[in-house]
Amino acid sequence: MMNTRFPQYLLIGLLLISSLLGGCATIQAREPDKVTVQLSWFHSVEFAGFYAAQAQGFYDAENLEVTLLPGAPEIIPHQEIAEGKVDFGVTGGDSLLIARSQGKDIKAVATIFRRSPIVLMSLAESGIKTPQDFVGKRVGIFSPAFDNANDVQLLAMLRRLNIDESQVEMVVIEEYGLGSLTSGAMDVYSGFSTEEPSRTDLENVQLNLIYPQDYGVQMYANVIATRSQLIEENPELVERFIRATVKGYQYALANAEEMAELAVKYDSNLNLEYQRASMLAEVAMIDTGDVPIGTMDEVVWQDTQQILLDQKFISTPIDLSTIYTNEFVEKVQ
Amino acid sequence: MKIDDHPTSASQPWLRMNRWVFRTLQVNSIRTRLLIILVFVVVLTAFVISGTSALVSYWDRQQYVLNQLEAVAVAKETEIRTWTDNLQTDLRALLSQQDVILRVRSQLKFFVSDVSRLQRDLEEDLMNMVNVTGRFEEIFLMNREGKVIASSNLEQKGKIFSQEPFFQEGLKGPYIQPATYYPALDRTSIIVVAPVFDQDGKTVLGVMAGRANLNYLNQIMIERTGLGDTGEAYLVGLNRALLTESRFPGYQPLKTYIRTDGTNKSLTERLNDEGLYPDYRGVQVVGVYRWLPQLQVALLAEQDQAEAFNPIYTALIRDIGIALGVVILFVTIGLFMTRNITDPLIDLAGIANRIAAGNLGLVVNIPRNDEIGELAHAFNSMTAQLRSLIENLEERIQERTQALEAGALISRQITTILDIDELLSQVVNNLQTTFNYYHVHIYLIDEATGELVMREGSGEAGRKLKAQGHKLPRGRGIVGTVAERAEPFLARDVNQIPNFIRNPHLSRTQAELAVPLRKGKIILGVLDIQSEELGDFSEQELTLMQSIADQIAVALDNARLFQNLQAAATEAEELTRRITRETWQEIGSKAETTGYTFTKQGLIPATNDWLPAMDRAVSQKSLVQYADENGNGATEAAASVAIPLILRGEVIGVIGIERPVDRTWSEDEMMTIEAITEQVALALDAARLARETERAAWRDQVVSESTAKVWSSAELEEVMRAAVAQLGDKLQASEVVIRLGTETQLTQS
Repeated sequence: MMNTRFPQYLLIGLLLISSLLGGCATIQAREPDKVTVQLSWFHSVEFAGFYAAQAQGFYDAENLEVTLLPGAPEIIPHQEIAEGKVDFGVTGGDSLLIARSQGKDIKAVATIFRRSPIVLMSLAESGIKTPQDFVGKRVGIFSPAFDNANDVQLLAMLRRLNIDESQVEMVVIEEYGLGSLTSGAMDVYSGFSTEEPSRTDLENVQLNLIYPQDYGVQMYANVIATRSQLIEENPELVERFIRATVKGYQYALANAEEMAELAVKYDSNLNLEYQRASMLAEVAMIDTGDVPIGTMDEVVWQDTQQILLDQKFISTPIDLSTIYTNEFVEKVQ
Repeated sequence: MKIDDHPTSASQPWLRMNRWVFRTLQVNSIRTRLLIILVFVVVLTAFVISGTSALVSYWDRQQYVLNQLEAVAVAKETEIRTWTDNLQTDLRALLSQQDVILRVRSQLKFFVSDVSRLQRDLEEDLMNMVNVTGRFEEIFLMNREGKVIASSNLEQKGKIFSQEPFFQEGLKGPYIQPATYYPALDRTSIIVVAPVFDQDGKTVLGVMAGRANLNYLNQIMIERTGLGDTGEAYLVGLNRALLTESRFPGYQPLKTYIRTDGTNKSLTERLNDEGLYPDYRGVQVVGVYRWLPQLQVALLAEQDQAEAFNPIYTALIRDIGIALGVVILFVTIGLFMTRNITDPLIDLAGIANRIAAGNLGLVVNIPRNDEIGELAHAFNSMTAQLRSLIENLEERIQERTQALEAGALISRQITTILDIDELLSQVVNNLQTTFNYYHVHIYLIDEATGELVMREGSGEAGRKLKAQGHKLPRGRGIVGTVAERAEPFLARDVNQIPNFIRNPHLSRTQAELAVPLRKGKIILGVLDIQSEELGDFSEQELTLMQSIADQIAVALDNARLFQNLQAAATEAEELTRRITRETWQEIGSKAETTGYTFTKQGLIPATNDWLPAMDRAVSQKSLVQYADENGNGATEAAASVAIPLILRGEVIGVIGIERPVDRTWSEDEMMTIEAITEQVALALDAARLARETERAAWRDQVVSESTAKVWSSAELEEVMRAAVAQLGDKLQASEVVIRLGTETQLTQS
């Protein structure tokens, strides 16, 4: 009897399996949501979390088809975001605040670096250890208008410490990199801690580092932003994107050594060794250990706003709740 | 059968499974079944015992290890709490020192100068505290703006931590900042803070902070007492980063992110719990995890399951070893036991097969008192019964065959022997000897008297009785009764037969069988058989004897008929001869010429010619040669031959032939003579018959004519003449004489 019945079981089994497969097929058949991201600068390990999320399939898992657009000097990310040319973008906290003050629809949903990477470097033998030592020294700036984030923070730090700006010689940086210091073009060079300081071993120099954040000046260097309209209309999409991206950064932190090679895949012009050094330096900037990665602190935004007010980039305070939200970062941890 | 093959009842799955097992294993013998059942029971028992024991010890061991880890974890948590308490106590102690708090307050309220004596004393106070307690890397004082106005580390002076949570929280009250990375120091620190109040105890003037080294936590966690060879305890921050050193290479604090069941549950659910899960290396561990709210970290104490459960595995292996040993032992015992049970059965089966093949003499030798012994005993007695039954049967077949053979022999005799006396004599004697009876005899009914006359009896007794002319009246005794009723009678014990008459010559008779000799409804007599053995004679014997008796009866009847027939034939023959004799007497006495002689002189009627040999030929009724007086032997000297003419046994004449002495008679000549003589006799009779017919016709016509005339007719003479002439011619005899007449007439002449 079992033998004669077997084909029937087989048939039923096949039907069940095929119906299940059919069900899966219909789920699979749902078109992934297309998401474009405007990065703040050229490809680099700074965006490792995005790369990891793509490589590890975290976006696929959220049914997202993510396109990463590298930045460039002529591209202004907050404009791209506000104008709806892209869904998400990476931009500085100060830029976002200024754009918001101009009434543009933009809102931060996470930060990549929890600590500001901005650092003022001097050669170890220069003896410059505190901002007070800048007096009478040549300090590099990017723009005489002080409208660059580095310049804004430098100025903010000097003012916070009541150092007379006129006693500090501001020199416009013409050559990027430590060459500006070693050539003697200036005594203090303004840059990112994840860049030049991470390569001191490679370039055989010793630096003294002064972090503006140690003097109460801190701004978010690279927040992930979108339009508040998108948040209202499709919070689920934002959540999926943030979830996958946070997972990508968690992966990048835990597997920091892999990230340089991954970044090079996006831009073959990148220096692999530099990228590797940068990534190792970034880990502590991204993950400070006290709160989940991506989380933004109210006090930092407050300070940023105050600095921008002080330096007249904005004229009136803005409701910070329209500037940023941690709700997605908190949801996806 | 179909129903048996496909049991429809679902209530017997056990039986079905059993059958399936036995069929699959091709288990046919009781021994294998017994063995399998035994092994099954032993293995099951061993399995249940060692399984239960293993489970219980596994659970016990797990509890033990968990308890131990828990104890370690609790101890370490306590140590950490003591440490953090101490950190806070130290700050409080520092602020409770009268001179220190005065300096702190005055510097916070009226910051004079970086280089004032007050500032130097304050900085010294902070450095002393760092050195005395050894718990801090740095102790620093921040004003209400978050600016460091004094620090044990002079380089830190002037920094502004207004944005830092430890400052923000420190304004509100004592607080511990969880392990946090600070880029300027390039390290992760725990910062303990306490607000500095003004004398009113309400106004917050600043925040006193102590930066604690994680090394101390490391030292607490590295201490591995109670964790075994593979155990470790470590701290993991909210960000899942390892905060203290791993005992395994390749996992650096702050660079290793740990997302295990333990960290997930303790950090997200903030639970104290325990469990079995893979750790950050992917190795299965037994783990205890605790949420330390003060530091916002998880404390995990873990031990590899391989080590934790090693004693169980050892015990399990030992248990399995013991169980295996027990199984082997029981299987060995089982082998002997089943052999003890099944070997006799196998022997029994083998012997049964050989007995079935015909070897009935075999006996099973199983000297046991149990059921198998009983079976063997029963088997033996069954075989014995079978054996005796078969032997008995063979004996009976032999007897039967013998009886049939004897019956056949007797039947043959009955059909071949015509003489009634001889037949009866043979029958009784053969019956007696063949069947070894005591006595056999046959009574025949005398038709005249109706009495039963003993005609034949076997042996001496038979002879004596026959000589006595023993007879019995009908209805008397067994024989008489059988004759009367015409029914067979069987007495296995004659002493119990009321009308039994013991014959004095047959004193040893114990059993008697008598059957009637019947011809249709007529009783011819009785066949009576007697035995010395009590209880002798079977029904088969009775049937056989009745059959023999029937044949005897037929033979008796046949013999009687034959005798009658023979008597009639003799009578007819006698009559023929008498007529021949009388006829030829009449011819001899009344014929004119009763002989002729053939000589060289010719043929003449011979009335007186006679040759000496003729006398003897007539008297002897056969050919006679006569020897001459001068001859020496009969053959040599034989000169004459005489031969009688015989018709229907009666001499009707004689022929004599004489020859010269020198001639002898050859065999051929003798035969020729005999042949011619026979023809002559027949020719003479034919001539006589012709004459008689003629005479009868004549007598009808001429009644008065004398018969003499008739007999002088020429036919007889012609025959005689022809005969002598022929003989004389053919045999070249000197003289041939023929003379007619009866024996009497010829001898008288």
